[in-house]
Amino acid sequence: MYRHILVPTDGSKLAAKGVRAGVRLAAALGARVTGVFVIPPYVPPMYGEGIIYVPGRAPGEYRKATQAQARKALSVVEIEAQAARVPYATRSATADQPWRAILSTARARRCDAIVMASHGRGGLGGLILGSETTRVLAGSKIPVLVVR
Amino acid sequence: MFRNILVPTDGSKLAAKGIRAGVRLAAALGAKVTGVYVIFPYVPPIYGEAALYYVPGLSEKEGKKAYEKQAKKALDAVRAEAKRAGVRCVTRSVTSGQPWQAILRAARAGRCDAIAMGSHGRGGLGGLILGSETTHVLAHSKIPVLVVR
Repeated sequence: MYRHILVPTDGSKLAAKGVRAGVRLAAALGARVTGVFVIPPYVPPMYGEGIIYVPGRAPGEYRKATQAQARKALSVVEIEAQAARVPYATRSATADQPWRAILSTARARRCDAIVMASHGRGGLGGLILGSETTRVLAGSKIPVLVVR
Repeated sequence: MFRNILVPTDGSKLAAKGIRAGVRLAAALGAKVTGVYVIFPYVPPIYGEAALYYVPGLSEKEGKKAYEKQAKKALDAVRAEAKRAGVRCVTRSVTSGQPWQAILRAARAGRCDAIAMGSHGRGGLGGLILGSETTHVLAHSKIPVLVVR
């Protein structure tokens, strides 16, 4: 069946449900998992006419902070995979649009399925499906298991 | 993991992809599958004032017979796929005007713990990113849904 399952996470509690389901499925199928966390790129200060944007952090600080977030989020994948004795790898990718990075990681790592939660960091917010999950479903050529 | 996977079908080629994935997953997990086909209810002739007329092409009896034949054909495909994979299988047909509601009800009634379905069904690809019934099932299901393109 599936041999390599991608489990995207944004570090949220809701995403952890998807991670757990992905690892459990991998354990049942004898598959491996790859966890992926998508880091939004640093936005430099912008001074335009009437528009001013000043990031709260310098680029170096930003990189450090987001990498710490990525490590923390991906450690959930590591812990779950170790507990279930499932071979695993983790990666972080930098991209504006998480769903694009999720799909390109699936392609690059040759995953044959994606398991993800119905919602992530954005929360339940009255929406029937989270925005990234919807886009992954729309763009994925490999099967996607959506977990609520 | 999963013990009883619901595989809804509308008899279309696209739905067959969902069936295949559901049966393969069940085989790998030692689970069984529950096939379900939703029969659209018979719509009786409507005679309204002036503009509102609807005359079905078939009588109620004929219509029911035709629908049941379609259901049997679609569910036979599920049974055949399950048999080939050595997976235990039950099938049922239900009548409802809203397939997604009937699918979720069948999942509850059959105590299924996952649903596997194609991204699209009889409605075809029609430029949409996901089929309408699949979208509704995803939105309302409390159990995991495997979507297969």
